[in-house]
This record gives sequence, structure tokens and C-alpha cells, in this order.
Amino acid sequence: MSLVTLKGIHRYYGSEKNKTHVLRDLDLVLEKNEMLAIRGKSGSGKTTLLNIIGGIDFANSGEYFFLDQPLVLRNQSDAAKFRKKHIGVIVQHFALLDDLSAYENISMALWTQRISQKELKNRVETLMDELEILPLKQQLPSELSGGEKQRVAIARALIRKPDILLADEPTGALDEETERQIMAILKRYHREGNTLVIVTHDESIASNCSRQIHIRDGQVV
Amino acid sequence: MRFLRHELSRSLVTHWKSNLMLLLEMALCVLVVFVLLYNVSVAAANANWYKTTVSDVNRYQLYLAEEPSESTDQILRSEGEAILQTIKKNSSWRFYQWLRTGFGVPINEDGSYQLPAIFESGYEDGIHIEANDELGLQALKCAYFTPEVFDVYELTVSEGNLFSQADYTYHQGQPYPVILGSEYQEFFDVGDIIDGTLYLEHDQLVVIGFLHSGSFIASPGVSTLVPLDRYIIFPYFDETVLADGTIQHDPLGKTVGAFLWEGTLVVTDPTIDVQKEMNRITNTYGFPAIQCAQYTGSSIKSAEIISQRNVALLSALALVIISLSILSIGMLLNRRTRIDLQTYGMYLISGILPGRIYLVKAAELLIFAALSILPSVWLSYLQFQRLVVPPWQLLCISVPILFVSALPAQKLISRVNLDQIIRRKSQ
Repeated sequence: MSLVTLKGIHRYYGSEKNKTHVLRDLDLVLEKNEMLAIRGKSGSGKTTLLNIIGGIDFANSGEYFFLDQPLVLRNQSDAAKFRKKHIGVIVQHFALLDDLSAYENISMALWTQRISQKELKNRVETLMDELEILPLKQQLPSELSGGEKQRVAIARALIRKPDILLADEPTGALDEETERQIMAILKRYHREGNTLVIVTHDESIASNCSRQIHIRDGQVV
Repeated sequence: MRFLRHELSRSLVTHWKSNLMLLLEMALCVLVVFVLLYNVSVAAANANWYKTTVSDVNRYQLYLAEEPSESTDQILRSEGEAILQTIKKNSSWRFYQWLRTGFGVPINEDGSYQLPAIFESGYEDGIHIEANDELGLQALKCAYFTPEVFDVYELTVSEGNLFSQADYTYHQGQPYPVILGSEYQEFFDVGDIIDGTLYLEHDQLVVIGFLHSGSFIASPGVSTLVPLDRYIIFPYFDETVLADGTIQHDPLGKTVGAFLWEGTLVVTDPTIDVQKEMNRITNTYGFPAIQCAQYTGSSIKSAEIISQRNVALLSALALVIISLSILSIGMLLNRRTRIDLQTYGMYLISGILPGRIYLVKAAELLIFAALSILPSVWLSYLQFQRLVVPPWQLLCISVPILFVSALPAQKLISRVNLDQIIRRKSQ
């Protein structure tokens, strides 16, 4: 059973007369426990593809199957429910809320879930410990290094135990050493039996993945 | 709850300037609407009252055609009561009598009034009666009513009782039974004794009831109504039982009063010539002519029209002010939401559902709505020592204004483009 199957996906912007195609008739199958790298030049459509997989953006046409079941996201609310249940997202520049501590940025994802304060604390601190950021729990994002911020962002994405972790240039803003550390974390996460999709233009990052696809002019080549 | 707590405190602190502005605008809007609502309610009550009790009846005030002299005084003593009884028994009209007077309550030792100044006689006319330091009294508005006044003006009590027939006989040394206007309700209860000065230095009143708010009676020579909310109503006594059991029946005062501006006829038979009928009665007794002056005509009719126009004008003004507020507050909320879009995007990416965000925004608006009525509540207490417009009515204004104003902002949140937000953040 495939985790995600995309068939004939089209995504374009602009008016009907003046369309700019980002994805054209794209097919993709993502298996469980896969670590997929999506490569391509800037503007090739790789982030759009990632966002469509994550229910962040919507295709103009085509079919989306999740666990072999057709996925229909009618509105933002449907998409938010889908993301909440299945998707974790990390982006190049971390997307952390500046006024929250590292601990709060991670625990935020559980704020609307019915779990006790004790369980919430336990889950967040365990994950922070695994990612070696527990001593930083009270720090604000502005007090963290790039690598530390990305670990916090990863922890936030993983705290709800998503089926797929989507990473958009996760090491794009980091130095080489930190890049290696972050990739080690992601690979470990994959080895534990989880599914990852990484968007990157970096060959060395892509070579860490179990499979690579290239996007050119909105199509898998 | 965690998200609600966090987002509320974040939003209240981060946007404290625009929140303050929003609160000020809302408070001002509610304040204006409060003043309008109060005036509309008073005007509406007036209009309704005119319609139900005044406009459709003919009202005549009685007065002696000639100044009282020795000869009229003599005939008043001998025939006055018989004439009054004949007038009362005539089936072509209803006769009632009321008299305005004053009741002095003592001023506290520290010089402050026992009751707020608004109860003073003359307060509505802009005449503030200075405390009489020598007597140490504050003059309150009072009126004596004959039983018919309550029927003619459909006066009822919100608490306690109206006067019984027995109350129209005064027992010397006993407290005077009184019905208080609705605004006194905050200060007294049924059964309370009020010390003060009516005829003697130390008289006592016993409260037997409170009139409904918005009770009025018409007054000759005045086109507007006399509101009774701040009045003390006494029974217009027929007789007095003295301490030794003797019944004192001295109708002269009441009779003289009946023919000197206090007496009013409400004509029930529209075919009758009132003056002709009155002349017939007075001629029978050889009594000096009693003039019947109609006062329900154009003056009260025009007051009714003005009152209804006021309701319409004030309502239109309220609508304009509410519309302008919705526009202005809507723009403020929209601007605030645009600043927050990135944060909302992060919430959505973290798995927080849009419904939760709307819920927090709704809670925030409810807080603003509740806070915005406080200045009106304060003003109400400052001016009237009570809530003249109930808080729920003010909330019925402030909550819809805020929620309608927030619609564009809500739409903005529902259209958060996460794709754009992620890319913008990544640039």
C-alpha cells in the first residue's frame, strides 16, 4: 500500500488565458518508510509539489490518494485537519514564533489536543532530549543558533508523530557542520521507520535519501 | 485552553495600541448609543403613554372664574363639598385631583444629602434647591393623588401595593403611607420608614409600593408629561382620625383645591357640552362660575408628534453612528489581522485548526464588547445612580457591532495562503 499517490497533477497560476504552469501532469508514488529527495532548479516546482503533498497548496486538477484512498480537501479547514493528523513540516528558515520559547514553539502543536499538562511536558521534553536541545527549552528563537532553531523546528514537526515529514531545504540556511548534524537527525528518523520528503537542490543532501526525483518544468524527469 | 490563553495574551499585548484605539472607539460608540437608547426609551415611553392615556381623551381643568373673595369663601364653606360630590358623581366625566408639594428629609451631619440631588424638587427644571442649613432639610418632590389618578393614568406598581381605600384616611401619629417613584427603589424597600418633615418637624412615611419605571401624568399648562420616577406619592386624604379617636372631616382645603387648578375632568361622553353641564351644576347651587379649560388638544397632540419624531430621529442617528463605527473598527481589525497573518500561518502549519483561531478571536471580541460598555455603566451611575439602560441591551449593541466589523478580518484568516507564507519566510 502506497502512502501517497499523485496522478496527473496540474498546478498553475494566473488567469485562464495567461496560465503559468508550475506542475504539469505530474505522477508520483511515495511509499511508506521512504526518504525521498525532490531535486530541481529554483522555480522548477519542487516546493509546490511538497506543499501539495502536505495539503498546504491545492492542485488545479489531478488526483491525490492517501493510503490508496482518494483525498479531497474542500477548504482550509479540511486541509488543516489532514495536516494535523498526517503531516509535519519544516522549512528553510525554521518558521518559529519569535515570542515563544523553544519549549513553547514545540508544545504549541499539542495545545489544542486533549492531553494532560504532565503528558505534554513529558512528550516535549523527551523529544527535546533526543534532539539534544533540552537545555535550551526556555530560550527564545532569537537566542538560538541556526542549527538549534532547526532542531526546534524538527521537534515541533515531529511532536504529533506525523505519517510524513516534509522538509523544504531544511539545511539551506545552515553551515556545513550543522547541516551534517541535521541530516543525521533526519536519517535517524528515517531509519526508525518513518517517511520523509526533502526538497533540496543540494546533491550531497539528496544522496543521503533512499530515492531521488528530479523536477524540470513541472514534470518528473 | 492553552492556545486560547496564549493567543489572547499575545494578541492583547502585541497590539496594545490598536486594542486601546479599538476599545476607545467602541466605548465611544456604545456611549453614544447608550445616550440615544436612553432618550429613545424615554421618548418611546412618552409616545406610547400619549397614545394609550392622553391623546384620545378630552381633559378639562377646573378653576373659579373669579378670584376668591369673602362671599365665595362663604359659599365654598357651605356648598363646596356638595358641588364637588355632584361633579364627582356626574357620569359624563371622571373627576380627579392631584396636588404637588414637598417633603423634607434631613441632611446628614457631615452636610451631605441623605438622597442624591436628582430627587430634589426643581432638579428637572435646572433649579437646584440648596440645602437649607438652618432647617437641615432636603426638599423632595411629592404629590397627593386621589384614587382616580391611578385609574386614569393606568399607574401600577412594580413592587408592593397601590393605596387601599383605608389609606385615604389618615390616622394621626401614624406614618403616612406613600408610593415611591421607581428610582427610589435602589434606596428603599417596601415597609421602610422615612423620617422627615411634611407638616410637623418629625413626620414619618411608610413605603407601601414602587411605581413602574416610566410612569407619567399630564399637567395642565405644560405640554410635556410629568415623570413620576422621582416622586413620592401620598394619598389625597379624605379625613383624619385624631389621636383621641375623633374623626376630623375638613373638606374645605380639598374643595378649594379642586376649584383652583387641582381638579381635572376626563370627559367620557364626547357629546356633552362640558361648560354647559358645569354651569348647570353651579347654577343649581347658586355657586360662582367654574371655568372648564380644555388642555388635551393641540399641546398634547403636538408633544406626541414631537416625541414620535424624536424616536425616529434618534434611531436614524444611532444607525448612522453604528454604521460608521463598523467601518472604522472593521478597518482597524483588518489591519491588525494582516500583521498577524504570518503567526496564523505558523499556527496552521503546526496543526492548529482554523476553528480554534476563530474561537480565540471571538473570545477576544467578547472581552472588548464587555469592556466597551463600562464607560456607559459608569455614566449611568454618575448621572442616574442606577442603570437606566440594562447592560444586556448595551451588549446587544456592542457584540453585533464587533462581530460584523470582524467579518473582513475573519475572511482574511480563512484565506491564509500557507504556501505564500512559507516561501516568504524562506526568502
